[in-house]
Amino acid sequence: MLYQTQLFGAISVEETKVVTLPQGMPGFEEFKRYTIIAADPESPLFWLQSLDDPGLAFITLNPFVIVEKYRPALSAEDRADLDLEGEGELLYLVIVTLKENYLESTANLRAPLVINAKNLRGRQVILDDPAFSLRHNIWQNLPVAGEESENRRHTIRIAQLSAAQAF
Amino acid sequence: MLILTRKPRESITIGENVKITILEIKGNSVRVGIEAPPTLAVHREEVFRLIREQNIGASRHGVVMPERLQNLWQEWKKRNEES
Repeated sequence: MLYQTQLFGAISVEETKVVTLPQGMPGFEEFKRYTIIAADPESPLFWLQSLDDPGLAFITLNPFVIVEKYRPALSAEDRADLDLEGEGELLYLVIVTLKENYLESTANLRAPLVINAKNLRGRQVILDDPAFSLRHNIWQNLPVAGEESENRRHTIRIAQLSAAQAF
Repeated sequence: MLILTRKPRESITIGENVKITILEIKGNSVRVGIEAPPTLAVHREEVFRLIREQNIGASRHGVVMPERLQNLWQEWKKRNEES
């Protein structure tokens, strides 16, 4: 199906690439349908384009490339909203605020977007841990030590969900 | 705003599915129990407000942002290669 977008013009999105957020997101509760658009084939940065509002799009990031040991804890409410059975396969994206000076850009680690890869339901999960900043400067710990191949696998998994490429 | 006065162990119901119970008062803190459907989001107001503001701020970018995103990605790759 064809959707109009402000940033990318008309894009074609299969139903299998539509991510649905039953609760929307705080501040955007009425917009529930999104699609992921890869910005670059290798990049851990992705656009999250609203399919309900052509002008609404977020920049998101695979969080594992900027923090080590990021393991968001999901509550029973989170799991119910995602219709999650057992462990399932979960994908994580954090929302980036891109600043005029892009070196000041931050990611919201306190409220990641969690996607159930099986049914493409998503939820912006609000974490209790104050150690996760709402405004984590994304240049802080580059490069991140840890499993680079695992990070890349997560990026690839997210890219597989993407409807279109924007590069 | 509807204002009610409750004592510990007393409750307030909202609609058919939400019940708030005052559990305990200690000093200037109140411990509150909330029964609500699992899919209804319940949060401390100030956290929810902060998330809301972050989301709204993050959504505000002009049409030049895709270029800036590319700049960010290029810069990032460069720094990763340098280390």
